[in-house]
Amino acid sequence: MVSLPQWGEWMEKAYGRLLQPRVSACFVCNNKISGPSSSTTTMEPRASRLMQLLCLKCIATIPWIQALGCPSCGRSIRCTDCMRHPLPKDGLSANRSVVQYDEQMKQWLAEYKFRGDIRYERVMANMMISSYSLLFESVWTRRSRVRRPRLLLDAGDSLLPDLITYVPTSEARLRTRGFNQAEQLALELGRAWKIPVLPLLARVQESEKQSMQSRGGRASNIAHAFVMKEQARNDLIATLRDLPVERWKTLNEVRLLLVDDVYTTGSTIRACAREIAVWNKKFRIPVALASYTWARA
Amino acid sequence: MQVRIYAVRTECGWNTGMTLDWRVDASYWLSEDGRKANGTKLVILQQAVSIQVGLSVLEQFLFVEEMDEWGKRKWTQYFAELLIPHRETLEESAQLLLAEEHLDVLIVEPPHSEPTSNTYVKEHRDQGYLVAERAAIYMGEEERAISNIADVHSHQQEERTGAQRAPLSLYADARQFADVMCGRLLLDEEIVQLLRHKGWERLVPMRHVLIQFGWLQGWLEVRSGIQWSRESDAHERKRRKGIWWLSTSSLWPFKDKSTAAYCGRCGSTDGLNASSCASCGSKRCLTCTQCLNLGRSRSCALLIRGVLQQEANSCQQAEPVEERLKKWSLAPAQAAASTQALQYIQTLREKVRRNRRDKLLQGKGAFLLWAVTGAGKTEMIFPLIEDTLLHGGRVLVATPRRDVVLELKPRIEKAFPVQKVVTLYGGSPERWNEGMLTLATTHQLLRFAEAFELVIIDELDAFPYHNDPMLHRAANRVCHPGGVFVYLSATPPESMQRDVRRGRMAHAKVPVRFHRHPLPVPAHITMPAVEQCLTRRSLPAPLMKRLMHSVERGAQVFIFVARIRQVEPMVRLLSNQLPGIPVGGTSAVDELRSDKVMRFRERNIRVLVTTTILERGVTVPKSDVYILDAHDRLFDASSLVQMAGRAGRSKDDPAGSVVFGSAQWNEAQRKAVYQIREMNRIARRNGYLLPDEERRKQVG
Repeated sequence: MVSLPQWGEWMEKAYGRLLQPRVSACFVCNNKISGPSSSTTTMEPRASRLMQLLCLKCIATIPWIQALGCPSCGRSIRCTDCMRHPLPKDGLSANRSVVQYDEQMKQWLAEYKFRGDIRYERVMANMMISSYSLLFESVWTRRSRVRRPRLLLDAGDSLLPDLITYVPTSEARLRTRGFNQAEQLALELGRAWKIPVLPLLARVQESEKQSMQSRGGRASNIAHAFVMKEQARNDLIATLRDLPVERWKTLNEVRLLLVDDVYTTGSTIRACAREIAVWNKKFRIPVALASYTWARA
Repeated sequence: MQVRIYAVRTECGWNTGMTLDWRVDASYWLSEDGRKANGTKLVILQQAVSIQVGLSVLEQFLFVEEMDEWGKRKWTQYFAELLIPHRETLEESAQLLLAEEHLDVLIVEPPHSEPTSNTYVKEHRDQGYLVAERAAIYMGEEERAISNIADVHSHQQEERTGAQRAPLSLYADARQFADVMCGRLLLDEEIVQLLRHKGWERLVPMRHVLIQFGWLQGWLEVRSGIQWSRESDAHERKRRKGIWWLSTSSLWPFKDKSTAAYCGRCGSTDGLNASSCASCGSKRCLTCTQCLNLGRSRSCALLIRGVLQQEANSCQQAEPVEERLKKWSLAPAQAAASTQALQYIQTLREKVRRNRRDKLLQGKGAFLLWAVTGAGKTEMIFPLIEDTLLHGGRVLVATPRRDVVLELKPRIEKAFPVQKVVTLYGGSPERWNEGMLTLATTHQLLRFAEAFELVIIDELDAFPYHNDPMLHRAANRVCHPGGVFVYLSATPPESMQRDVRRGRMAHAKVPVRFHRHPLPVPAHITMPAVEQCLTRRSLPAPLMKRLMHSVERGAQVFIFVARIRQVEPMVRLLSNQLPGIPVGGTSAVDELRSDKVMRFRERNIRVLVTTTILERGVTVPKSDVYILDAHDRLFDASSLVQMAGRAGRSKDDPAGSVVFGSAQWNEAQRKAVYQIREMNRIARRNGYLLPDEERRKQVG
């Protein structure tokens, strides 16, 4: 039974919603978000999902990665890193990122991660969702469509991974920060695509913050920071069992997407990939691992 | 932040508490420091809960007669019942931890107390108290405990036989910490910064012990970042707003007013963002987005307020007011206003002294110093600052902008050479210093609570203070009960002007500038809108004539336009029309702004086209002001007065000219002219203006 005061509160909220004007403020610059205007025509098509959250000016500053400079790590310019240390060596087929990690994006990520402004979460997740099919066209081949209700999902459906996992943080940091940005992004993606998100890895070694390190420091810092969780294998098998039967018929590889917030030198993602790659020796079905980050430095 | 909740049996029955470190509470309640112990029995819930849950559980605690006879099982049951409503707000994994079967209590009694009934003999042999005792020693003499564990063991053996006392060093450390925290309102992260800054690195891992100790002593207050207002608070706030009958919530009779969440630091009720949180396990942990710039205040954040009362230094009754005023060499109008303010403060102080017993009666005074532009406001506040310092109070001068803080600092330091002046702004290195005299931007006030006896708010009608309820609340909070606000403004907001007219607000007007010449009254030139002039690429002849005159007489010319986009075209147009005269333009989006203003001051730029960004705080000797599109809705009466106030500020050229160029004469312009005329009239009536001959002589 709902109490009277509670009723009152609901009613008030409902009234408030009815009466309040439909104007919201962009939380980055606090300016009013105006409805679609003539300038939308020139806008990046991927940004349409952000219209509700940001103002046009802020959307225009997003440095989308428009063309791949490196087919391996998804950088917008040619990448010498990947020539010296190819990603597949670490068991990673490719990385893709949505934006270039410029000053503006650094600012956004800092607001989100260090200041804890969780409103950025939705923006970043939306950017990742809308860019996915565009970016992963070149990573994974399209599968024949297996799910019937095709209206519900966009064309990227046939490119979607089977599982999502994320780069973990240590327990202590999770405690102080209150969230793990990679996990949050992964969960958002999973929710949008209706794909299971599994916490496969754990971070054992409390390393210095990666953002404080130089390149050499980063690699050695992180090399042995991750281990496979004990129940990861069971979780994985249990989730795979739940896949629809039609998918099993066409399943020649298990597509696993590793999510993180930013790819800088790649050492974090490589270290995670090395842990996951162990499975390739154990399973009959190969695990195809690709990583997906919001930004690429 | 995770805390533990407990219940304690005192002489007056069962009480409840929340603790950041239960060992402190154990020693506080149960130790007998040569006197009777505060409590006789302590029941601690072993499972940690998040701080917001802890705080609300405390409120639900009800004293039941039978509690004295309760055993472990009954207490567990009781706590589980208290926690049931909160379990629903948690994530599943966290919910499991608080299920009844996982809960456990620890019952602690002093070793030599008489057990209240036979059933407790067993429990009293529990390891619990030993742990508590050992912990207390450990806390107090940490270094020794680490260096020589065996020694501590023997020490502890001794302690067990005798009375156990709170270690002295803990008391000293906590007291020192509370002294530093006095008047501050800080989050846990900020406390770490504060301790580091003070060089008390060793206290950082033990800060929760200190906080808990200080809380028990009543030196500190522990809160959570987001709080739930109780009915009375909500009511109070509404009544103060005045138009409570308009707000929707009071129209709905069933609304439960107790459910409004607000940020404990900035007081905002909206902009609270709910998310699931790994720190507290809550599904809806609220984060305040309004004051996020100063650190993250969320439901499970620890917010500490220092409430230690420092005894005011005995007031050194120095010379009488008139004597003190002399040394500041104020103009007569300034001196009169300062005296009025001092009298007001004095009467308030006496009132407070009479009502000292009753803290609730101690309201906060407010005094408006309504001084025209260029009146010398800073000089006028010196006597007020001195007066409060003499009475042992702390003083805050808050200004809206950081550059004003930096500009004010040397002047105040010069006026009060003995005092340590602390300047606070975003990124200030003196953030954790304390002094009797603080200069701060208004945002920094969010880190203080009831810290200052005198709060001077400069330019209260300026951005960002104006129309920001968060900063108003912050300002209101930093003033000590019984303290005084002094508002400084040339153009007080309409509501305050109304209060002045109706005699509701104590105030003093300073109607004349320090050089005792009247304010220049704006002249009006009818001209087409700026937009039209720009497309036509010409300015109307009367305006050009006056402009030429200004330039020829050697004045620096301010030209205010309404829009940023008009600045550049206007600069081009003027450079064409005034060949050979350097013309510059600047606006809020200009990164070289301060550089350009500097060049304008040095007369390298003669004509500066700008927007309202330069309407205050800029003093350029010998300048004329032209406000184009004065009818624009962006220019209200107060900004017109402020812009007009840029002219004629210096002694050498007190009669600058001000021109409103507009297509229509509107309310704002009329009001601005009226205000300026009115001030001149008051000045003349009170005889503050220089005699005519003398003025003419100076103007030449």
